[in-house]
Amino acid sequence: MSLKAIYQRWLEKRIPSARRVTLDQRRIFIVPTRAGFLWLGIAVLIFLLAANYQNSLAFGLTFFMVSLFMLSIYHTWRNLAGMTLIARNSEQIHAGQKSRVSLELQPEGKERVAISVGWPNEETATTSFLSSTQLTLECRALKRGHFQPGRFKVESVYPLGLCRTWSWVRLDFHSLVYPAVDSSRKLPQASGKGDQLGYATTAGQENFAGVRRFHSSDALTHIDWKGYARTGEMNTKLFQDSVGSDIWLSLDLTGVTGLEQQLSVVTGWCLLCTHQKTPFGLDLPGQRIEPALSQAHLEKCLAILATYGLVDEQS
Amino acid sequence: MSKRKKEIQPLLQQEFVSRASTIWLIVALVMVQLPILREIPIAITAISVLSVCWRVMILLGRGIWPPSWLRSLLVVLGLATVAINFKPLISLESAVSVLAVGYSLKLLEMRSRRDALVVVYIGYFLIASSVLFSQTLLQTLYLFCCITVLTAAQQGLYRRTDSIKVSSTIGYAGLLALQAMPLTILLFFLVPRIGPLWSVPLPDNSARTGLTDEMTPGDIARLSKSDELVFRARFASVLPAPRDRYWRAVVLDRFDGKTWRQSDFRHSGIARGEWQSNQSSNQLSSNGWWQTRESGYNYEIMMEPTGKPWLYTLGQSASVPKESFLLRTLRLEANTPVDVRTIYNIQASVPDSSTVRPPAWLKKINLQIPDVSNSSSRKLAQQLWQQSGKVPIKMANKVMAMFREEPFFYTLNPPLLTGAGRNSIDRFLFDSRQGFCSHYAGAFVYLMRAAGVPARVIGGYQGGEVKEEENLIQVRQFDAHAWAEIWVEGQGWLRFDPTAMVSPERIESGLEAALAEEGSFLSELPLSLYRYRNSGVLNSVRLAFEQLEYRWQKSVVNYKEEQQREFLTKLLGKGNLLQKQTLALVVSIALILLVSALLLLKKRKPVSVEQALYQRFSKIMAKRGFRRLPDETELAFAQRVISESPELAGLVRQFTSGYCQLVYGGGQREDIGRLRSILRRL
Repeated sequence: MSLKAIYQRWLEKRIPSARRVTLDQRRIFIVPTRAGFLWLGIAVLIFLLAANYQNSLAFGLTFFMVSLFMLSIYHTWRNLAGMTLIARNSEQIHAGQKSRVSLELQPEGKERVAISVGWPNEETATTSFLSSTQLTLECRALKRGHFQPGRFKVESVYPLGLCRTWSWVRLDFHSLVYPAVDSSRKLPQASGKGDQLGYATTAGQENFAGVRRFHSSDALTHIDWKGYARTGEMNTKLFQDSVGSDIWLSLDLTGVTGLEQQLSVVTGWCLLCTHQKTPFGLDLPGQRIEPALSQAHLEKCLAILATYGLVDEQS
Repeated sequence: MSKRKKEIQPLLQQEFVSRASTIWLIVALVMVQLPILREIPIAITAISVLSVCWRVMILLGRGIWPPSWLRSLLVVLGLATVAINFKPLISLESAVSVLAVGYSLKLLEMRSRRDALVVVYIGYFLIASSVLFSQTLLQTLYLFCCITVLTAAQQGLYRRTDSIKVSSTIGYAGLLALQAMPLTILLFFLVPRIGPLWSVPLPDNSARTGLTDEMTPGDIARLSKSDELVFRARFASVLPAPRDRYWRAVVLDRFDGKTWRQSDFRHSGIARGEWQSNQSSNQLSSNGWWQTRESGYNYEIMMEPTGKPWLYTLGQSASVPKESFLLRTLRLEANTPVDVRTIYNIQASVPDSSTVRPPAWLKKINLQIPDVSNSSSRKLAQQLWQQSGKVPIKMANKVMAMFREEPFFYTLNPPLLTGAGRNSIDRFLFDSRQGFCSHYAGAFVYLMRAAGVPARVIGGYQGGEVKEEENLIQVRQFDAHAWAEIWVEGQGWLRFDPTAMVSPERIESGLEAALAEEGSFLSELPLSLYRYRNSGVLNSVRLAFEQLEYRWQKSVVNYKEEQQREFLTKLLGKGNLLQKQTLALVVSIALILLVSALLLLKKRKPVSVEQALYQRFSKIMAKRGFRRLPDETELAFAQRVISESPELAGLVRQFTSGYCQLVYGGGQREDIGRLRSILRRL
């Protein structure tokens, strides 16, 4: 096992991920910064000066610098300690896109100054707060599945910049990253699974199918007011939703190899179908979603695609 | 990737120097340079002022950053100034000047946090260098303020620009500085002191006012205008009477008609053992010097730096402190010029006057007068010598009587004798008859020498202010005085102070009393606290402060290797001191860390009664093996517990619902008691 993996495992044990994390002494690390080492170096130089001149006050200054350094370890540490981070929400996105992630920082009764929060190589924000505050950060999601932005760093060198204190925090955002969108493939032909002609319809909301006499239970919005004005006959407009033009989307139809690519193509199709108002169903090995057409349906399908074939990492 | 980003945009928003920081850095620059203003050339001060003004303009949004050629020009200008001003080039003052140049100019190119940090660090160096010049209590308090301002600046660097109030940073910095004090004091007393590792250039004291080894009438008048401290003498038992407070410093035995000088024995060709000795008193007599006897006072002198080697003693003393030697002229000299505040002890030991006999070469020096000029004075001397029957003491008394009975006046502003050339003694004795101690002492010695009596002028201080609470006498520059000594066979060197004949007040009550009519005492120092000795409140403030200052110097500033050993032996007992010292240091640092760790681990958040109840509940559950997960609600936790150990169901359910009712449902205070009883049953 590589050293990095050992470190990650140790970190995982020490700072498990959760929806809210309070930074206590087990989770906070602290070391001197370069400026801190320079500071100690200068203290040593002044010590030599003091020794050579036998100057008590110069000795005093050296000791003051050392004391201030030690004090700053305490203060820097305390700036981070006890603070709570809570995962608020994050946008649902497709893999490869940037998500805006909301965090809530709770100071827990003490002013927190110049605390920077962010993922390495991603956006980092620095903030000071006395009361609970929201922070929105951008983070790129690389893989589909449960959104796991990885550990982010909470860091501070305040007040004197002599020490750096930090913690690696992993928060659960309980959001999903959909597969990346691949819209290069053409939508497969409507295939009602054995009902090739499939002009069966069902009463619905979408397509106008004619009129019939008004029943008192009919919705007022469906009354053919224009016809009523013309003929004096109270009729109700009828609508049909197409059933036979349903599209079943399956991995085999994509014409590409590799699960990820296939999922990407299917995701693209789902979005296209919704856009074209074509009802679609999912036919994945071991999972079937009946055709439908709505935002909730789309989200359900995308969620299934997002976690398809993944071992459930979230306990 | 982020690294490349940083290279392209070196100044991220958080890397900018905040406004508060800039303001404090400018304030710090001015404050830190004030105490060393005297040590650095005026041109460098000008560069500093320019930098500060320029930086303030930029801060106000009215200036642009100086172009790099201008900055380079200023650097060259500053270094050239240093090179021209300091001979030799390597001295403490030149190093401080270079630091000051760098400090000022760095301010003009301080755009990023890193630059600002450099400015802060140079500030610390300047503070360290200014304590080499002065370590008074006031200076210390002032430098503590400087440190606080620097800390405020440094602290402001690490806050975000928009969330910062200028005044809040200084308050916080002051708090930090105070918090650092206990550990600082601990380290100060316990960390083993080491001696000098290599020799370093000492502060240059050549421009200091003080006694010199040349006395032209007027020199002492110049000193009398200063209220600067010269030394403090702390006596082991009783204080000497006012009439005995003659502090010898220099022996002026060469006269060229105008100026009295101290002989330079080093280049006179006289064998070293003849004029110099650092032997203990007993061996002196065997070398042909004199016998010593136990008499006089035991005292300790804390003298301010003079840049001159001579030390002060009360009257004639045969005691030789460390790192100094005794001269045949009965004065003490340190091995090296006194460039830093020094403390030395004088034992009660004086030369037995009957055994003091100047050797021929010394007698010759003490009889020397210019062969020409001052003819009236010579004539007068011959007359008096005849009248007194050639008895030196009688002769001396006659001269003293002359000063007392004839119209001689004591004044700080006598008519100038410069026109008199080498006839200054004649002009003074027969014409102006107004003068200062140096005039009277000089004329007295001249008359005695003209009559053939070995005599010399002694320069030093007379009097001093008594501090009864510390049993010490504090001597200032205006106590500078000159008197005379004549040698009489069998009686040694006898002191005669002709000034006492003209102005007895000067000797009994000090300069202020002597100048009461003239009103010229410290007239050029309107702010001198010493002038306001008669105002009750001010005077008690001054006295209290001086006492504090003395204790500060004695206990803190003078805390060196030896004092540390003494102090710690008293504190920790005898034995292997270094071992004990290290142990004490480690133990006390560990104690401090322990205390702060306890403070850290203690929950700072006040826990409400309800929360405390739930914490107890959680503890009880934990003992039974149930740990609440961080994001588990109280109800979910209860469900889990119940499902896993149904025998607890009743109590857990009761408690949880009661607790939720209390916290979320606006429950009554009585419920707390009920919950407590449930907990007890659990």
